[in-house]
Amino acid sequence: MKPYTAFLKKEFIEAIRTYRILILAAVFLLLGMMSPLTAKLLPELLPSLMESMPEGGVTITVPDPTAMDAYTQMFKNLTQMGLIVLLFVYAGMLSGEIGKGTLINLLTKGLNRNAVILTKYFSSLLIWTASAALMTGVSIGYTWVLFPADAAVPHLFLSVACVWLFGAWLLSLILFSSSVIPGYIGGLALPVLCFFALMFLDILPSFQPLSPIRLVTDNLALLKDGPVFDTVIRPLSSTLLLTILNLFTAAAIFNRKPL
Amino acid sequence: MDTITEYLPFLLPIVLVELALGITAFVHVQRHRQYRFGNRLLWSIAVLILQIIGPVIYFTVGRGDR
Repeated sequence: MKPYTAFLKKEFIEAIRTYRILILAAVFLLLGMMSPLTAKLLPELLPSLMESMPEGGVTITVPDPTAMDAYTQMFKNLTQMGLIVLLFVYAGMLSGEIGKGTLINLLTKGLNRNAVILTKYFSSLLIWTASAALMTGVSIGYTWVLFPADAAVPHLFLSVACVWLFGAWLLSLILFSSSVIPGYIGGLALPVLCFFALMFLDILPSFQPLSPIRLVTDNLALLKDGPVFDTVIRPLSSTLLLTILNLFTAAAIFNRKPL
Repeated sequence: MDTITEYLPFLLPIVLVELALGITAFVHVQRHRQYRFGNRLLWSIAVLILQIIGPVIYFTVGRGDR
């Protein structure tokens, strides 16, 4: 266990020095605060925008925003900006160290290569978990104050957990990708490719219910209609399976890779 | 204008965090002369003008290795 804890500690120091923790904390904190506020202010801003238009412009009546609108904004930000930032921040987690040659010292001193993959995954997963929790917590707080009438939304945590698992899958895919393709681009290649492939495959009715994409597209339906066992459990289990598979493949390839 | 003052307690933390992120990136740009691409002027402007996105791009892909 010693090499794991030592390497894990090194990973966290690296996360601070490379500003990963700072970026993720700042971005997810901001998104968490901005989402409910955007929902609250949008209807108030729209009329003033209308006034600035030349006369004869369209008039739109906007219904009063609710807590659901706040969470709509939150899931939009979390699944778009949030995941993109996570991908960019962690795309270089393996390739950066291979490129700089800082791993060679540790590996020749007997550090297990599986330990490299696993601790890198574990540390990034912990930081992603903390970021997602921070954003959700701040969003809940803001929503509670801005929309006191109907702040409680059911199934919120399950819905966030879906996005969280998608992020966990993304991180494992980065490791898989960087063990195959060199460079920072290597870490981005497979996740981006997979995302577009999944979007494309989403047309197939037989594939749709199993796709990890469901975890980041059905969040609002999940809040509104509640969890239908089949629609939640299938993408959750398939994504979990894919994540484990990614990690095994990444470790297997990385073990044979000449550095 | 009324709306802004009404929601100031909610807006202020957002502005502060954005500023903190921008300034941290700006200081980093000034203290490190090597970038993976671009130059000091470009990054100085980018991290201050492009809220959130500027600093994120700088720290993830623009920042040079020591």
